Amino acid sequence: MMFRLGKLLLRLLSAPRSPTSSGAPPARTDQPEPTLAHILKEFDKCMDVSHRRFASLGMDVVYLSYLVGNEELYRDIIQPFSKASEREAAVILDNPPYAEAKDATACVDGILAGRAAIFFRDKTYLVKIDTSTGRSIEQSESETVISGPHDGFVENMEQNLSVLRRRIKSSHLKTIELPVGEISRSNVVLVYLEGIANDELVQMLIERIRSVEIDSIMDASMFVQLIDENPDSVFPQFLTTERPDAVASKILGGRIAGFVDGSPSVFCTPTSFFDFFSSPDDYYQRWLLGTSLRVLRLFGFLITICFTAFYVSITTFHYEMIPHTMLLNLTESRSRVPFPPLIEALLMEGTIELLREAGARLPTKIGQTIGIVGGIVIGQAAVQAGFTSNILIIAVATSAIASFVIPSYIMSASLRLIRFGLIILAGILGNLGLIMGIGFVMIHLAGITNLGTSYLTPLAPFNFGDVLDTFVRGPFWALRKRPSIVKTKNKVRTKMRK
Amino acid sequence: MRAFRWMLVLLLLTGCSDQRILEKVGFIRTIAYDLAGRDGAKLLKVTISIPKTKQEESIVYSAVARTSKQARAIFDRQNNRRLVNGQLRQIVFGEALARDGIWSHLDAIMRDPSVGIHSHVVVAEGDTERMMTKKYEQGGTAGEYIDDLLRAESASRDIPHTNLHSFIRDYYDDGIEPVATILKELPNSLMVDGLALFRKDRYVGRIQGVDKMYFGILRDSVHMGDLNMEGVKMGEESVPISMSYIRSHRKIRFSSPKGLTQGKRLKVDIEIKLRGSMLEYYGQEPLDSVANQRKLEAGMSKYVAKKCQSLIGIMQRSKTDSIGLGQHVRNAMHYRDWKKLDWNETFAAADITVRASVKIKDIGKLIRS
Repeated sequence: MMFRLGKLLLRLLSAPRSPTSSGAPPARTDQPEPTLAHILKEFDKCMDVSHRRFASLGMDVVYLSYLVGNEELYRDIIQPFSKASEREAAVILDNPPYAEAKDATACVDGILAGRAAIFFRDKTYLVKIDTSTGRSIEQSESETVISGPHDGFVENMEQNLSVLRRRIKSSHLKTIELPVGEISRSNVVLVYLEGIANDELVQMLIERIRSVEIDSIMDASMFVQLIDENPDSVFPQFLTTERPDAVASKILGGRIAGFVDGSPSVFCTPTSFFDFFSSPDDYYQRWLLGTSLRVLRLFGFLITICFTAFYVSITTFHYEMIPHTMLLNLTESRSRVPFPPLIEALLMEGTIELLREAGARLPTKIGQTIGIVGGIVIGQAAVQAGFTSNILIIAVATSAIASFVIPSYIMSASLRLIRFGLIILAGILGNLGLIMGIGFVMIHLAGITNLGTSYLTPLAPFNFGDVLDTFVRGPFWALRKRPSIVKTKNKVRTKMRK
Repeated sequence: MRAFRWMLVLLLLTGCSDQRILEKVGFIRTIAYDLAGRDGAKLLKVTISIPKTKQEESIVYSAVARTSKQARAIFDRQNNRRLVNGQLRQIVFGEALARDGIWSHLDAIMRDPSVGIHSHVVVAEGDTERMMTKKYEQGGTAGEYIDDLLRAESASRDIPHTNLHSFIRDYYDDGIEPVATILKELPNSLMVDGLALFRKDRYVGRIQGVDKMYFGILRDSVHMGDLNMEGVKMGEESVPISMSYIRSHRKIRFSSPKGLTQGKRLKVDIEIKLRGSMLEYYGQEPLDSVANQRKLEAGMSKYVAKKCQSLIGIMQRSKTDSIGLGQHVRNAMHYRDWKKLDWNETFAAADITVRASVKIKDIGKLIRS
């Protein structure tokens, strides 16, 4: 309610924001003139607004002092205008990088984006003099590779775009800026290769982003939840990554990438479920090794969702499935545990999740103690105290380890949730419940779409060419075609027709 | 949302399932049936063995009852854990009971879906209860000992697989009869002492332990095993030999089954091809020479054929086609005609000749001094 009200007020106070990509905004009659007085009123009570006057020229310059760089300020404002005559100043202002601001909204937006507004002879000009502050480019901490490029995206979008431009030196690489966030005015930039990416998908995505109504966005992973087709699903539907090489390869494959202001993550679409299981590392290794790693990760996926559930299922219902020699050990170990297997497993999985969350929240230096405490408490004491059986420890630990091989942290976190569902089902109905649970998940996965493409591509609809780059990492001579999920007109990788 | 509702329903149903939590059940590893009581009483003696978690010991219960279910009820009243069949490894039948027919017991076990299909079917010569309770030098419990013993035996292909699966398959199939392993009780061990030949579910004949390899060759192709021969004629000399790593292949030819419907006698030709390594040879003449090898091969062929012929004699006398000749005959005739045929009688009366051709693959390492 408050949000709606705030938005209404905002609408009344300022003109509606206009998308920069599409032609001229509709002219408004009540649009205030971009006068100095108006602008200064707008930035009333802002201690960081600077107002500099060149008295000889009758020129006023307004900017936000914390956004602009001293060098840029000197280069574009102080140096040209301090000695210039009025005629010279007019000539300078008619040329780039100076641009005339048409209305007050553009002027305010410009100042907020780090530009300086120059008021000269009843006209208003904007010039970009902002400076970037923030981290320098360094390796992404959540997605590391052993070999391959070690740069990662940062919070500054311009820096990110420059990193990408340096990787794909093509004029077909289009960047479309779309403003999102009613108050924060963050920008989302869509990047794609014209002629390779499907135009309809691009158009669909643009429309979807324009229709987003929210006060602000903080991160790409947050933003994609606003534009995906299944907001209630546990599965992430847009691949988000912090690696420029991964984004570049996705764009070259015909996908659309989206950069979000202030976020080091970049989202790519359309993505399938299996894209979350591939890592750039696969391509930097020899293909046989890359293939083995892919297969290993898919096994990891199965283990992480099923293993503990399977333990619960067989200890509760299907004792006949256990090899005899193991059975006796297992029975002995279980006989000291007072809880049924379901409770036992939920307790252990809960503890592991606590440990994991604690490890993620704690500073690195204290984080190490968590490893020791967790290792001793879970590893030994729990079994000795008759709290759990040792085979369960193995199952829980194995599924935790298996969840770490999934390259996408968001996907791995989603699978943790599914694991709990499967454990409960297995504890109630045994293998029947386990299979039912997997069936539910499969049905759900098959129903998810991503920009209108199936989430389970290339499994359903089946496409053999894509399988070569999904479940396995085929040798490069076999990967001639772009993936079918992007619905591109130019199917062959080496070609790019207009 | 609908999924959540279902989840809730499932959660509420937690109490209504047939849970068998590991530490709350007792796994029967071996179950033995035998006849008890004086003649005519037809009482059943059932013995079960449950291994304890300490692998060295097991609990043995034995009871005499009218049916196996009644015996089971007696065990249930004694045992502190619920008894289940899922880890059953051996089903042992006393000799006397086996002669009476074992199907009702086997059927009851087979219908339990948790019973594995690899449980062994065994005919015991000796007292079943004593066999189970005795402590063997080989270590472990009696059940474990029997299990390992039978596994080792069938792994070396000395005996055909005699598990529940093959027994039931042969029982239901036309033109072949099931077999089971015979375990004999010795003073301080058990011994695989041949094969029990069944006609349907009745134990009718017996193959001696020493001959079971020949039975294996007759029943199917053999890929591995040792063949012992005594008194193979090699020219004048009679030598004991043993062939290792043998591979065999049998081929069956028979006279036209059309004559069968007219009551003619069936003529069957079994041709056995056998190759193996000659590692144990106690003859005088050196085997280095090819001529001597040929001589020996001829002698062995004759020996194998004679041995097999005598085994077939046993089967014909017991009127049971344990080697599955009937399957071949059945496949060559109309099912209608086959149905009319009394195969066991036909088999018993058939004129079966076995021809064997034994080849020496190698004679081991060459040692010349």
